[in-house]
Amino acid sequence: MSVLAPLLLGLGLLALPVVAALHLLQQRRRRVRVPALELWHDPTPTVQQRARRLPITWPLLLRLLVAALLALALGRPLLHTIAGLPTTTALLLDTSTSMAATDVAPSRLGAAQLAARREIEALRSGDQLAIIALSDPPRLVARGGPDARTALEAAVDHLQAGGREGSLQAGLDLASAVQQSDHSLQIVVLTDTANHGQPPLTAPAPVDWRTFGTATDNVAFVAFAARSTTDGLHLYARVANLGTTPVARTMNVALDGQLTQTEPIRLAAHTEAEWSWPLPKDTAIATANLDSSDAFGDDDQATLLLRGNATIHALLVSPTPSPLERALRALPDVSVTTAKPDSYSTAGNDLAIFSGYVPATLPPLPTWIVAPPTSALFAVTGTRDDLVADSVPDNRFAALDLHSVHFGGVTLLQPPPWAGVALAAGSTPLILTGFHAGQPVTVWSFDPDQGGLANRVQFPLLVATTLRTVTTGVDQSWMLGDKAPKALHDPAGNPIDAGAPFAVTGLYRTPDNQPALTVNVLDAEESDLSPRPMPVIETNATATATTTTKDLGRELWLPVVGLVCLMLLLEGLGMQLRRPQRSQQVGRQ
Amino acid sequence: MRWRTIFHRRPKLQPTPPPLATPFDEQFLRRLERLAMVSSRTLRGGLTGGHASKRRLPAPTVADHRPYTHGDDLRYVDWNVYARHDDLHIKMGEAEQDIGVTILLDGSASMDYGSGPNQKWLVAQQLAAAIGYCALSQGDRLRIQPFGTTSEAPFSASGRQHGSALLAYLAALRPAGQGDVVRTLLDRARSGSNGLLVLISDLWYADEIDTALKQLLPPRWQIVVLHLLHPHELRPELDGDLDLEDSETGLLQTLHIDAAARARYEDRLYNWGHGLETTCVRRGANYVLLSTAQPLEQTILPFLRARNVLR
Repeated sequence: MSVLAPLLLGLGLLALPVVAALHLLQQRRRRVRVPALELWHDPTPTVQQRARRLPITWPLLLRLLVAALLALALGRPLLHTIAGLPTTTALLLDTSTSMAATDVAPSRLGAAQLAARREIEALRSGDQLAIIALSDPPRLVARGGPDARTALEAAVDHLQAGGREGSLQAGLDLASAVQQSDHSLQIVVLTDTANHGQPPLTAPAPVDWRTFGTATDNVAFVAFAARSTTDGLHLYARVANLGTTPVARTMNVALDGQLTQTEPIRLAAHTEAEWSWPLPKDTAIATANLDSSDAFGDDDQATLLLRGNATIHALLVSPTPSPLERALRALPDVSVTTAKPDSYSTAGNDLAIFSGYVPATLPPLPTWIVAPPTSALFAVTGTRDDLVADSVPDNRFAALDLHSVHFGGVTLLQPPPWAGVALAAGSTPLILTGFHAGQPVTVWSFDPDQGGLANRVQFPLLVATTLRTVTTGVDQSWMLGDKAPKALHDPAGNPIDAGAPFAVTGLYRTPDNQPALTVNVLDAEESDLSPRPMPVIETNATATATTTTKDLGRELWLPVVGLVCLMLLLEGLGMQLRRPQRSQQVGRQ
Repeated sequence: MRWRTIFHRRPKLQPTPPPLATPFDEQFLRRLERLAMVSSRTLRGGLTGGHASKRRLPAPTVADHRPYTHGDDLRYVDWNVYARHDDLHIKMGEAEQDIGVTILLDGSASMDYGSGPNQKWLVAQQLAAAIGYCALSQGDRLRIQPFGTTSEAPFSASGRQHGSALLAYLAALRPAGQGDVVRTLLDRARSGSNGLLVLISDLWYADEIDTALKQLLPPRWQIVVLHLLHPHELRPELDGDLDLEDSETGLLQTLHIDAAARARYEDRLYNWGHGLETTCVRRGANYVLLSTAQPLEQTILPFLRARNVLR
């Protein structure tokens, strides 16, 4: 309910103290004649010494209520008939990896999907519902009214847990975008208790925040990788106890299906432990699992596809000698061949590296592009120097400390649709990763020969990381929710199409049954199921006003005045009934 | 019109109804006829009253004999004794005496309190009329001495034939001003008379009554103090912020009266009444606290009978 004339309401409310003052005057002292004052001399404070108090009587309360109601009637109260308005409901459904936890049945995501289905069933004629997957980035999954219930329910059922939680602010902005102009907006966020604290957000409408899941302890693999050292290849594992109580577990490690290690694990609350084992040269697949599962089973196992010590044959195509060649040659297990842009062949190579040059068509193998000029693939708008990386959206580069590195010769690229930003300086992408024509492609927008990067110790590390990133499926794992680069078979043998999200963890194979890649959780933040504080969300007043201006309310001043009249009538009757009794009392005096 | 309904003024108090045309209605007058006064044997008086005296005097009703002495009235010689013993003996008997009944009627302004049949002054008039009429009926000497009234001229009479004059006299009295109970009692003590003295008063500002009662001791005086109070004096119904005005002195006292203040007043009233009763008993006086709400015949007259004041 709101008032159309708040000024008049305020003025009308000024009558309340006036009524109280009139009652106080009415309660002024009366002079009463008594036979003698002899026994009335009282040491207690007299009226002059006491603060005059307003006696709370029924007539006073009644008259204050009457005055308040009249003031309310002056303010022209408006009853909002929200029920009669068409509503656009934006359903933001968290699809991050932690939603796969099973501390609530069937899972956090399952419970959220059930709630989403109830919202779909509650749709009325004229209402709209938009389902927004709160993935990274948030995306509109489906939208429709009551006649599209089947499609909406199918879209909800199709959602799978995986990947990191997307930006809630981006989701709220998307919700604002789906609102129809003649609809009121209702935002419902279905998420788990593991949402990360975020800065104050703004929403176009009040947010109905519904959480699923409980405060659950969890033990998880947070790292499982192969490291090449001077002693050869080593398997590395890190296990974290993300709960509040100590745990004792057993970790089993198998190489190519053969159990090779059994490690007892004792972890205090909120602690981690690391293990490292030498790997035989011909090991292809390493797996590790914890003996007992908890509410989140996906992070109790990890799988790693290894190349062993197989050499990566890289072709470096550059019009001029590149410092990249020196760094690549320093890496073990990498064989580098250089060529000019006008005469190169990718045959027999595992990786093509183009420095300062982009071919018209990318070769059908993993490709690494450095400082691309303007081409059919990239639109370069200029160059900048002396940039410092301040954003690392791709956690594969998060282990590098690049804060002190100044990037030079940065070509200002518009990221192509098939690529995402892995490293950026403000809004300027420094590293892009993605898949083009089914092949992994990594792009350095900077020139390592400028800005002094080639002379920094971080340079070979950045080269090694990029090499591992671009050699898809080799010594790296994918995350739940990532899209399959090509047609594969999941660990259970079910085929999945290229571009379909990974729904389960484990080893994925090619259609001809060759190991292709592994999918793991390996994310401490997603494995931490403890509750986080709910983010502060401020409602955008302007947006809200826009939402309600078309509200068809009903003015209530007439019923209020009627109620006042009724109260006055009842008071008058009461006065008439009391008057004879008072007269009798006075007569007896 | 509506505002008058909402913020109506408290209805003004009705003016005090005028005093009754006569405080003695027909029913009351008939009751008076049934009353009779009986005085204590300790009282002294003449020989014409209807009250038995302890003094043995020659009388037609024989109670004893004594030898005849010169000057005795020959009408009281017992000739039967003379015939048997040849000695003259005088018949001795119970002497009938009259007594002086004095009614001190408080007519101060404080007695003009209340309305209707419970008005203090009305009840005081009726009490004085009842006692005075009984005294006249018994042939006693009656004196009514009002104080604090508009006219303080006393009423003196003896004999039933003055009953109407008594009622007219009482009906003409009006309470006014300040009455001094102690001074009035001391005046009676100095008057040299004796007999039954009935004080009808609310006893406000009579703290020195002990001084007066010391001068009115038995057996010369038989004192009856009728302490007359209105029910609102016994249990006040005042509440809130009030300016209390003393009816006699006109002084104003501003008070906030609540349940606690009323309780304190009632405590003081009890102690005050108890102190007056103790003083009266110590001085041989009969004390009774009367409420004007109590019917005359049911409460006051039985008390007077129990103390041999009425028969």
